[in-house]
Amino acid sequence: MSRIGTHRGISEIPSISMLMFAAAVLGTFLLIWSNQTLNFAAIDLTATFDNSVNRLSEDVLIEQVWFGTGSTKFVNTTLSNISSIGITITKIELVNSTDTHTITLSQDLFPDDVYSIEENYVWTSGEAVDVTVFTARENQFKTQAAP
Amino acid sequence: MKRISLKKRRGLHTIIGAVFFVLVMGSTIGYVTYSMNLVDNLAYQVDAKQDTNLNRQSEKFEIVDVNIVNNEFILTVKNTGTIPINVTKMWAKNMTDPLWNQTSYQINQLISPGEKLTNIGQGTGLVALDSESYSLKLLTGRGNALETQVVSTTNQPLEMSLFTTPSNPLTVQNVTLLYVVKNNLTEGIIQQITPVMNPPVATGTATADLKEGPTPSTAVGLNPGETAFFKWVYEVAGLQNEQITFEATLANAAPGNSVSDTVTIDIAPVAEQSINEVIGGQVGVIALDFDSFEFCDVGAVNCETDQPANWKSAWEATKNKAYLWRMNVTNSGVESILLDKHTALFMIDAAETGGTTPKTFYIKKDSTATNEDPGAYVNYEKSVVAGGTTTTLYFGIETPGSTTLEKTQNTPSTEMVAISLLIFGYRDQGTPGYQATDPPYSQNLSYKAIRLI
Repeated sequence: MSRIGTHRGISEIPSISMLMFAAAVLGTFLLIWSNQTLNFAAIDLTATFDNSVNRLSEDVLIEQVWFGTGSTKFVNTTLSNISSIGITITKIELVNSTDTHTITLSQDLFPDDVYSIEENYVWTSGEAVDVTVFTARENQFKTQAAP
Repeated sequence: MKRISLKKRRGLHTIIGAVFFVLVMGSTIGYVTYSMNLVDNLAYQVDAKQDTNLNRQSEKFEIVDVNIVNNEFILTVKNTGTIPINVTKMWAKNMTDPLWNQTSYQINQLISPGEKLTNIGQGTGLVALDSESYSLKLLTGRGNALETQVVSTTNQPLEMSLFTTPSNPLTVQNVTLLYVVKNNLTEGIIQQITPVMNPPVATGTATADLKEGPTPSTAVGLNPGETAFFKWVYEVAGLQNEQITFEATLANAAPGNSVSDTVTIDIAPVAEQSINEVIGGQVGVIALDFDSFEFCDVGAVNCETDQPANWKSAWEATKNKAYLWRMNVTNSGVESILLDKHTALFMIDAAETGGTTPKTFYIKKDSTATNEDPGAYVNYEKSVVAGGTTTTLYFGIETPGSTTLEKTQNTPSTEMVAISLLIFGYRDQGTPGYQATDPPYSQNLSYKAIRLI
């Protein structure tokens, strides 16, 4: 009887040790996993926040849109970055009642920078043109001009 | 013993679990705190953006004056808003010459609320011509823009009218021409208006000699809806029914942008002496402002000129009472009339039966703000100034050059009294002031009527 009792005491220690080890491993794993998950979520959140704030902060002034006649008809668009962050202009779209003309570009504008672009464009006197400026952060700035 | 040992080990498990729980909770709380900080920052950025937009909407300014000086624009801008404005740039477009490339000019000047910024455009090197029209655009640092047009009369026909008065003048009489030019554009400032009177076209022997004008010689910065007035005075002469056509236009006017009016000589040439005998509104050069007729009971109230309430504009006066009388006259001629002391108001009783002796109230010194009755009139001291100037005459003296006031008729009952203004004087020619060589002038104007009660 006494041997049996002694053996029961010995098996209790390894089993408890194994349980504690397993709990420690599982707990550590859980801790690492949760930390990583939260870190990833924080990075995503930061990126989302930065994008939102930068997008919110963008401000482009379409200073002037004028239509001229050189060897061919053209349109001259002048933009200025009146915000406090850099902006990348990706596209200028000119839309009249019959046509959409797109100027594709990749023009970086630092704060207070002014940018003019002249593009061949067959305008019609008196016909209004909607001008839309697109940025890399997917903002749009619009105005209307008439030759 | 076994039960005690198991209980001890359950405590160890709890401690290990609690440690893990604390670590997990710490991570989670850190994440939530970080997220909340980000949201807070986002809210701050949204606030900042809203402030920017609000400030942009709060910017209010207007171009109060535009002109071209020394071949350069000169603009005056007023900040009518409640926040300072930074005018950063001006864009100029030549509307007359389509080949002209648009250009911008840095300004970068601050305007405080309620203040004006002047001389915008000067020193830019941009050459602006009176004969061309321009579109100007001012930009602010917050991205607002204000546009205006500076329009040349060469490019834009304007609404205009020409009035001549009198339209049926006597011969050798001055005719006043009033030329009215209106900026009938919905937007755009007329940069400069210079009136031009083409040579008058006359029939027969009629002539028109320019005496004065145009007055003013130019007008600048005419805003939409505003009107400019210009005046000329011509002396016309001719035979009965002969006509003179005046045509007014503008320097650099758009083709065909002119207006004309024709006067017709109404009365054949007559001698000056005869004119004074003719009864009618066109006799003589002195006109009366009937509504300005007033009288003051000098014995009862203060008749100084700073007491206008004591001067009555009425048609009832009291008989046998000394009054001061006054009225305004205007000389439309080109020579001032020096008034003789015999100039007077003549009052005659219009009773059906009987009637009292006519009364004459001679010219007297003008009342002042400190002296209601300065008394005797010095011969020729007063003149009715030429050129349409209004002159106030005072009457009430019993005999020419005296100081005694005359009283109204002492009629037995309420009577009507007719009043005439008798003017005696001299045309002020050559050296200013009375000269023995100045030609005489007289005029009789049936004037006013009152009742003596």
